[in-house]
Amino acid sequence: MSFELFTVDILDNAGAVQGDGPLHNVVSVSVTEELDRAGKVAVTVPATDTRAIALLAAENRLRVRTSDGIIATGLIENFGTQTGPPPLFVVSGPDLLGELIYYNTGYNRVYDNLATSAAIIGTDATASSLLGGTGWTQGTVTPSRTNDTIVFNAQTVLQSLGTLAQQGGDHFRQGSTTQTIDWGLFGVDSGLRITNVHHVLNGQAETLNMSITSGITVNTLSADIENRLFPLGKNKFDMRDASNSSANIKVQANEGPTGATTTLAVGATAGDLSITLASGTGFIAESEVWIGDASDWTQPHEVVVIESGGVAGAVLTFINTIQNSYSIGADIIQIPQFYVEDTTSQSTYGLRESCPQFAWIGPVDLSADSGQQERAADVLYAAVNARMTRYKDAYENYTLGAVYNLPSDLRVGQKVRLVYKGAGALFGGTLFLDIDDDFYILKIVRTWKGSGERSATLTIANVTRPMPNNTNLILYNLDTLQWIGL
Amino acid sequence: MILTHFGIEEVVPLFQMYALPTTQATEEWSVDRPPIVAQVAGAGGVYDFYGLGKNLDYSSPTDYGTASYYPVSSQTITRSFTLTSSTYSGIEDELDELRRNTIAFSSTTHKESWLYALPRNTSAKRKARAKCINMSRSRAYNDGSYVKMEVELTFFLPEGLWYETYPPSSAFITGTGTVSVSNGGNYPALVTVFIAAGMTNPGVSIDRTSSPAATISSWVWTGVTAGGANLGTSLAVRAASYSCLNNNGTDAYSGLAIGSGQIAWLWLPPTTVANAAGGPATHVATITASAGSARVDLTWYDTYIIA
Repeated sequence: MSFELFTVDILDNAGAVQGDGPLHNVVSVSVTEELDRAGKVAVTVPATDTRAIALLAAENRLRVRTSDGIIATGLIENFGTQTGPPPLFVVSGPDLLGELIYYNTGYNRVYDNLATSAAIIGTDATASSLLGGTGWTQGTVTPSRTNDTIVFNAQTVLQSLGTLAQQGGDHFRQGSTTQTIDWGLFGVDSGLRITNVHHVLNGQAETLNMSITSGITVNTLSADIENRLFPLGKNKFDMRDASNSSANIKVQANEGPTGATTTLAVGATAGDLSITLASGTGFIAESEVWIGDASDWTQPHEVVVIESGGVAGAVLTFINTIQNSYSIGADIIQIPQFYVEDTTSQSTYGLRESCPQFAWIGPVDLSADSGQQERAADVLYAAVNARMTRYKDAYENYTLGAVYNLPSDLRVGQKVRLVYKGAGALFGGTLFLDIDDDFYILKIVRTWKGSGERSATLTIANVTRPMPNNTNLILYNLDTLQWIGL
Repeated sequence: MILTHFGIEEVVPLFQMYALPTTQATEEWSVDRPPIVAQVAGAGGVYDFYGLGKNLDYSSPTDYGTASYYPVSSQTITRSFTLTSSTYSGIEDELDELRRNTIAFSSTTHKESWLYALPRNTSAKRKARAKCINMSRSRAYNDGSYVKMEVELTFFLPEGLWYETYPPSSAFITGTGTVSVSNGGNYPALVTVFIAAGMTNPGVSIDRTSSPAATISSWVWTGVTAGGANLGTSLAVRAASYSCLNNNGTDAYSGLAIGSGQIAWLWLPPTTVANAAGGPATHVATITASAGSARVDLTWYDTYIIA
């Protein structure tokens, strides 16, 4: 009977085992899994182990097998040493999802209203798909949008998967087998309860679906709320052409001096070139005007351009005839802005407005298909709704340190129940926490030591939003700079 | 207190456990409750995180909480004794049996090993979860009468707690009301509650009866207890293992609400914890329900810290 806790093999980049056996004298192994990102695999060996040093070369890979059934493969990219005693050699790199950084979408890579799973995500065998030619295939893939429209320019395949996921509100992670990807909304309840205990007793290890944590750090308790969002896509593309299925879009006038709002004083008929307003104040020639029901997107609506009228009188004449008929009282909005909102969040936190930019979303080719504008607007609507889901409530992000008895089949993207009553660390201080709620798992770091000790660290949050850090804040702001032309 | 036996689950008659040799036996016991403190820069003394009035989960000194004193650490006990035999071969046989039952102990039928001890002032043994983590011995020698060998065993008790032996203490009541419960140990005991089928929204609290009367710990479960006729096959709430099951072993934790500020689900202080009038505290278990009547069984092991 073997008591080995883990073994570490070295593979070449074709997957062939190198050397005459696994590494000896491994001090520790850690495997990190992170939602919507490549994870990490790290191995620590004594710095005097010349065999290990010879095998752990940058062109090779690590494969870790543990006694609890976990197999993880990592690309060797980073080498470091820790001074002794004893001196240690630390080798690490991304897990296999990191391979997808080596493939690039190139530019003008267009997917126009194609099946998200089969055509866009695809597989290794589907050359035109994102996974085409990468060696990767699909695990469990259930996109929230059956078809999608998206253009990629100069993104790694890994980045492109992240962009596609963000657009639909989905997530991805490695599948359960090598070089497969799982995709979907995730959020399935794992059935696991993580709790602190008053006294560690043997019987607790036998309680099914319970893990013990010894400490909690509050990373973020953020009131970074957005509950009225005005999304913009590529080149200031907005949601005006969204279909009726994008039912929660609302309209308001630009709140600057050029915004104006009134209603129809006389019913208008499709084909009319002019309309009569209840008030002409503020309406300016050559401005855009939106006609419809500002609170019900499913009613007929359109945008037209004023030729004359407005301030001097209550009749507006347009450059082109109107397409729909409208009743008395229909909303007339100059320089319209299109938004979505969550009124429950507004009641709780007050009104919090934002203008998120989705710089890659816009019509694919205006000349090719008259439905381009509508499809792109619907994509923008899906993306902003997905963002609002994650930003309408206060954000709680915790790190659970030293979690024991964590099930080996727990995955990022699943939900766990955290029951924690006790002291937690908060910004260098201590806070008494009383938590009993469900959270998404964003990151799992599992560590095995040669001594036999096993533990895990989890990062969890109430919504599937990564914790703000310098990297993703810079990337977000770079998107903004690109949009405004800098 | 002297150690007597080591081996598998206590429901097996003790003769199936290994009786520790008694010749020239000595033991060393120690127990730690290490303080958790922080040095406050520039000030004398230290900040003590535990103790009445500073509890993180209890605010009233009448409550007995996990934080009312320092946490109990694991325990290590060493026992030294002499093996004797008329021959060197016999000593080797003794040694084989000792190794098999202590340092090389394993079981394919039981998950835990236990250490038994006997107080010198009572016939009631105590038990603790333990592992033998060290065995050392001297060279065998002939003292003219016998062949002897000094041996020392070290036992590690991860919980640091001792319990009364099987069967556990128990009380029961049918329907709602109160029933007396008593922990004869010197440390709070964790209480397991079994409620038969047919009770709606049952609640259980452990209450001190007087001086002053107070609820020590409690929980309420929302739902209807359901399951088989045998004990534990309907609602079974085990405070020691943080387990809540209903209806023949189905996880039912989502319906459980623990009393405010509690970490431990349900525990029973020892009667040795004096009440405000200076006498031993007496406790009852109070059972409530919004509807239905069923048998409620409470079990616990009197719990001890023993050095």
